[in-house]
Amino acid sequence: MNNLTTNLLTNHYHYDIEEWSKQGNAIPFDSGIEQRIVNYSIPSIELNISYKGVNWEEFESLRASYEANNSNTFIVDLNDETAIPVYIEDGYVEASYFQEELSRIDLRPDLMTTNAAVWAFKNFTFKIDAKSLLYSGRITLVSSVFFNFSQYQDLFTQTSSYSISVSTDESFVNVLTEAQPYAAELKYANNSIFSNIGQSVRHARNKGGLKRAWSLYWLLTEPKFLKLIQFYRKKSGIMGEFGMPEYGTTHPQLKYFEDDYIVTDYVVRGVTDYLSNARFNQDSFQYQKRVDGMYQCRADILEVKL
Amino acid sequence: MKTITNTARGDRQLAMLHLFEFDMYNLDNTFKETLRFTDHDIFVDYNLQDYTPLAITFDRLSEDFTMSADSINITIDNVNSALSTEALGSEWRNNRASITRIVYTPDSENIGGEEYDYGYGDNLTTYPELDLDAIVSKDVWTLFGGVIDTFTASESILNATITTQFSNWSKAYPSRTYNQNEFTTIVNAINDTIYWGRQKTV
Repeated sequence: MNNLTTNLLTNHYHYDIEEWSKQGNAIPFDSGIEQRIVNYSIPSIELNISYKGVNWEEFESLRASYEANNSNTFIVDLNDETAIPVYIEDGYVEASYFQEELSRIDLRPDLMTTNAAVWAFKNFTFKIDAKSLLYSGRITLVSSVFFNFSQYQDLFTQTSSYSISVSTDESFVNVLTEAQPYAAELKYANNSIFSNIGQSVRHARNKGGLKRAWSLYWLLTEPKFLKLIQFYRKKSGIMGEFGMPEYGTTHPQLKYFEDDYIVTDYVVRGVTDYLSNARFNQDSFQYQKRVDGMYQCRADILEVKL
Repeated sequence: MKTITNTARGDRQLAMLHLFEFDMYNLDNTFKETLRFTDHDIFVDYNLQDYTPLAITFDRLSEDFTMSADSINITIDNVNSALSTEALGSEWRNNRASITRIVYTPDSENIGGEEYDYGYGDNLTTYPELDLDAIVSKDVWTLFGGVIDTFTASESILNATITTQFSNWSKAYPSRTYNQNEFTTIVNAINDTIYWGRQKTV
């Protein structure tokens, strides 16, 4: 079973946690007695890990973890969390000294050895804004009862895979260099199936076909917007296909956008290898014209598997 | 014989799990194996048998107008397709199926010097397994015994209907010495909930 502890916990800044324990129900009787019945006794945790100000390389590492493990269980041991300097009332305290006490969120490894710190991905969403070119996002994990013991692993195997659906069509990249989105969301459409016991994932089955999905946000002047809507009219609907840059906008490492210093060919050359074959997700395109003459719109784009 | 002891009846808080057994026969009608599952979230060891945790649910038992519970639908997780493979490669129908209900009180547990009254996640040792043989305070009874009637399978679930022998024999629940209302209450208590009283239904 893959261990993603370091990959997932390196650049996070916040946890949002919901923990279930002793799941069951209470039954009242006419006699006034209430009986409480436990059905599931292994604690289950839904863990949201938030990231802010992540650069392209760091995001790429997180994305690679997700893509390689989108439909299988994996290990994340929160007790192995990287030490952070901790300040208490009296001032500075050595991090390593307190680390063990402070980072013990998941009790399962204590109870059942580290083989029990098993999770599955539930959600993966990141957003990049074109100004800072930094990513912020959130990964949701759910705990699994498919533990890292041979007794469980022998039941059946689990794997995940993702391969990009490559396109060489640069028409949309050319539109994007003109009509630059101010923000892009990067997500996935996952069609694997999961089974669960209580609030825990028991098993995930990869059916293949993990798709990348994007939402692009624009605020454009009329000439640029007209280029965009013209492109939409050409490529709209279920049949339209085009090449979509994997990061949703033009290359995030080329920070020339603000100064309008974009050499189209240079940008395109940098991204050609990473274009996904994609289409617009909706059959309609909504946009607003504001009183200042700017056009505001958003489009959802979905990878097409060949 | 359904026996609920005072241990279970008196407890205000208790844990409940079910053990499922299905006898599998080869298509030439020779015995193949007994499949053992549990709806608990980890392996359960009972009578030296290992029960595999599986997302498995069954319809609420109910009586028909002849005062017999004749059949019950079971829904089993088939996400790994292992069960449909098994079902197609062997004979399920007309073979023994049983649902055993076990009521127990989880043992207390000491973790890091702190006492957890009902444990934190069952007492676990080498791998996640609940050893029921080691738990003294438990009640065990057969909730439903019968034969597998039909099954259907889809990609994610397998549905099976199991039918009681009562139904095969057209036999009702045993004749009674108490009145109809009382009898219903008792049967409901056995089938549904643990405390031997009338459940508040409003």
